[in-house]
Parts: sequence; structure tokens; C-alpha cells
Amino acid sequence: MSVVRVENLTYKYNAGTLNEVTALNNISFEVDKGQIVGIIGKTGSGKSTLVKHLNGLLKSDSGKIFVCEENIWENKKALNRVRFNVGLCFQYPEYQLFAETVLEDIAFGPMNMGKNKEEAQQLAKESAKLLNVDEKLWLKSPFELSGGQKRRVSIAGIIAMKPKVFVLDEPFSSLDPESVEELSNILKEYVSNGENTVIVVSHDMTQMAKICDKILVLNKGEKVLDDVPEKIFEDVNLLKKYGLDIPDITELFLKLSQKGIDINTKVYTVQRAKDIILDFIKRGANA
Amino acid sequence: MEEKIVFNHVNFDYEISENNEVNNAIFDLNIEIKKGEFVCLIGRNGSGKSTFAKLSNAILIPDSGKITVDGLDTSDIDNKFEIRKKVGLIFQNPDNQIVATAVDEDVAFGPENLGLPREEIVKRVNFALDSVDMTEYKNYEPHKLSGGQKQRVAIAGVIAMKPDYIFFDESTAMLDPIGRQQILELAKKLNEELKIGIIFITHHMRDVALFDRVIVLNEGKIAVDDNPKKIFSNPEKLKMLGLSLPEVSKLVWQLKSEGIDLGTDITNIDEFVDAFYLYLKKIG
Repeated sequence: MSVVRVENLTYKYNAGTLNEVTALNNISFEVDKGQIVGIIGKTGSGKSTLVKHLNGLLKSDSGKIFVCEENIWENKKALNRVRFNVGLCFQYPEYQLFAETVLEDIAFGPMNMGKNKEEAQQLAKESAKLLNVDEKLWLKSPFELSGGQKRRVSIAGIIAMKPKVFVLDEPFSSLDPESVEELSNILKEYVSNGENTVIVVSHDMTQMAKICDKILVLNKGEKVLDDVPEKIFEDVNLLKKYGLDIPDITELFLKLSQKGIDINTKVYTVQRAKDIILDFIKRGANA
Repeated sequence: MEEKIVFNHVNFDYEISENNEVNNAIFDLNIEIKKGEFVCLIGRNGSGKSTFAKLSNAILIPDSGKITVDGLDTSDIDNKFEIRKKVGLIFQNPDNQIVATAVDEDVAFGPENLGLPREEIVKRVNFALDSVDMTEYKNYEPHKLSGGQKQRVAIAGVIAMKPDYIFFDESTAMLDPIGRQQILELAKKLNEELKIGIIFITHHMRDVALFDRVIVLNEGKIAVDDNPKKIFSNPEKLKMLGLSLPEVSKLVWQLKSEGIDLGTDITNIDEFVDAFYLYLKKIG
């Protein structure tokens, strides 16, 4: 069942002026409940503009957006609901930390939703634990933390509101490999109940290939691909044309194939690569 | 005198927190980086990488110990100007580094502040823009450029100062894959053609393999200082340091655990392809 449905969305910056730029052009797609959906595309392709529409921060010139089967611009109440149903984590969310303590910062969202102080604190604590924010840090100022810790605290602040749809714009950039792995696992965990959904924008193709059930590719404001990762990373030349990369492992297998090694190139994770190579060698030995 | 950056028993703390917990950002650090080296600096978030960069061009001054750049002590205020010229710093966010309303004016900002004659400024700006392949954008407004192009303008601004060293502090983190690739290639070119010492801070393990020397920081100390092949031959240690192997090396190790040994010094795709080809020949 789709939890987000976008229909014929078009958005222009500076509409009606000489500087008019079509940022999004007639975009339609659906996101199923319980999935992790990726959005990729080169700088300026419209990714951030698109996700800002999903919780009503930007209003399109034409087209409709449905969240939980409700048109978000139907009326003011619908818009209020979408602000809580869709949690949006901007690029570099750590720049938005502001409260005196880590826990207060995380509890800010739930307080805004009308929870009382105790409930908000409780939600904040749960969320902090989920994000591995060390208890020793809870009463510290968020500004005393390292970059990686700040990122976790700011993400915890959104998860504390338990959004049905959690949208993250470039959450992996400038995180160390350990933290990238950790955040990926947290996102997978978040959708594992089948109720929550994650939409993630990233340039990290390797990571996207690993965690996404489906990937949308944007180019110059248009949706050009919308498919499962194995299909998306199949056509390297097409991706390159859109200014994108392929996962390292896929690149490796394509090079093997170019060298005349007749091997399955539909691979984008280390695990699958290992299986294919083992199978390849076994078949060779039997032949 | 040899041209190099030298850290000698350097300690540095940001403000000590209320409970007097000493939180060393850099702890008793000793290292030398020579002009002309092509170095990658890695480590988990909070390990001291950016602090290291800022100490190297006298934005920060050590609490104890000594840092010299080509023999100039960074804690001597009279050297500050000279050190800033010698050590350039490129940051993460391209939008925070542009000051002027046209590309060439932005690049000229540094040399103008040096009080150089007009012809010299023009010469340097042209040379710098040419080095980063941005000459055709000379008269553009910077805000109309892509992230990667803005980073190249920022780099040109540093080159116009004729630096001996450039630190790239996660300068590719906000760029798309193509922009990232271009900045990496540019860093390599500046090193080879202009003999500028490059210290490249990144979290992309695949890119680490391209450097001659890799320094790993952990809790403000040097955990490893070696070539990429050596660094990637110890996955357990890397993991302890919050880092990981490049995808290709991960595959090498996984295959090894299944009895397929391609040699554990493989760090890039081409090496893997060659080793695998040889392996297939060997087993017939």
C-alpha cells in the first residue's frame, strides 16, 4: 500500500520572472509502506526541492501530493497532520541544534506535538537510545559534542516524533564509515515494523544500493528512472549520462566482464559479489 | 633548510568543560609532512583531523609543544602572515568560501590583500584559474556555479597565494560523484605539476587508496602512518578506528575467508581484475 503518492508535480523557482527555472517537471511516483526508497541525481537535479514538498514546506505550482491517502493541501488540518506524519531531516541537521541540553533538544519535537513534558522526555530518551547517544551526553550542551554525535542527536530529535514517513537529505555525508553503517542499520530497523517508511537522498551509491528497496533517479528536475536497485545500476552508461556513479562492486564486475570473464554483472553488494564469484569458480571447476 | 610541516609533542584542547574533564583534541602529537607529499588524513568523527589542519596554518595555536612550517614557528605572531600564505585550507562547504561577486575577483581577493602590483595579481589569477580549469568561467557570478565548480574557485583562490601545502578538509563531502572525482584529480595534478604538498581529509575509503601516504588519527593521536596497502591489510585495526575497507578490499577479504586468496594488498578495481584473471588461469 502506498503511503506517499506524488502526482504530476511541477515546481518553478522565480515563476513568472525572467529568471524562471523549472526545478521539478511533472514528477509522479509512489512509495510503499515499510520500504526504504532512495532518491539520487547530480547536484541541482531537484532532489532537495522534491523532498521539501513531501511535508508541505514548498507548495507546487501544479500536481498533488497524498500522504496516508490524504491530499496534503486539502485544508489546514491536513497540512498540520502531514507536518507530524512526515519528518524531514535536512542536510547538515546538526546546524539546527539549539537547546541547552541534548535531551531537551531531542524532546523539542514531541513537545511541539502537544506531548506533556514527561511524555516528551520519555520519547526523547527512547530515541536517544535508538540512535546510540550515550547517556553521559544527555545533559550536556549539544554544542560540546563531536560532529558525528551532533548528527545522531539531530536525527534522534526527528525520530522522537515517530514520523510515519522519515525523509533524510544526505544523512551520510561527512560521517565516518562506522557511523554510516550504524545509521544505515537504524534506518532499516525503523522500517522493520512494516508501518514506518524511509525516504533518503544521497550521493553514496554503494550505501544506497545496500539499503534501498527502490530508487528514483532525477535529472534536470525530471524523474528518469524509478526501479529496484538491481535494475537502476544495470545501465552504467545511462547513469553516467545523468552525472551519476555506480557502486564500486558493480564497476568491478563490469570490468571483469570487459576483460572477457563471463560473469553475472548484476551485483552491487560485497556479499552478493562473493556468492557470485564462489559460484563462478565452482561452475568452472565442474566444467 | 628542508621544507616541511613539523609537529613536535603538540597538545591542544578546546575549552575545558565545566566538570574539568580534559578533552584533548590533539594529544602529544609528533609528525613531519614534507613539501611535495601526497597525503591522506583519515579517522573517525571527532578524532582531531580538522584540528590538525587548523593547527597547521596557525588558525589554532598549540597549548604546548611546537609546530613549524618550513622552519617558521606557528606560535610566533610575526610568522602568522607568512604561514597562512604557505598553508592553504579548503573547507567542506563551497558556499562559505566565496567572497566576491565574480569568479576572477574572488580569486584575486588573497593576492590583493598581499598588496601585490596589479600585473602580478592578474598573472596569478589567470594562472590559478587555468590550474583548476575554470578560465572560461572567469566572469561568472559564483552563485551560478555548481558545488564542484565553487570548490575549484576556492582552490584557485588558494593557488593564487602560491602555497607550499594545501589541506582539503572534507572538501568533497558535499559534492556529487562527478564533482568529487574532479576535485580528487585536481589535488593529484597540483601535487604532480606544482609540487604542492597535499593533505586530503576524507571519509571515502576508496579515495584513500590513491594516496602515497595515509595518516590515521584516533583520539587526537596518530594511530597509523603508512602506505594504503599496509593500512588496508589490517581490517581489524581499521574497524577499531571507526573506519572500513574500500568495497573492493572487503571482497578480497571475504573471498580469502572462503579459501580464495587473491593477495591482500589489492586496494583498487584494476588490481582486483588482474589478480582474479591470474587466479583463474592458475586454477585452469
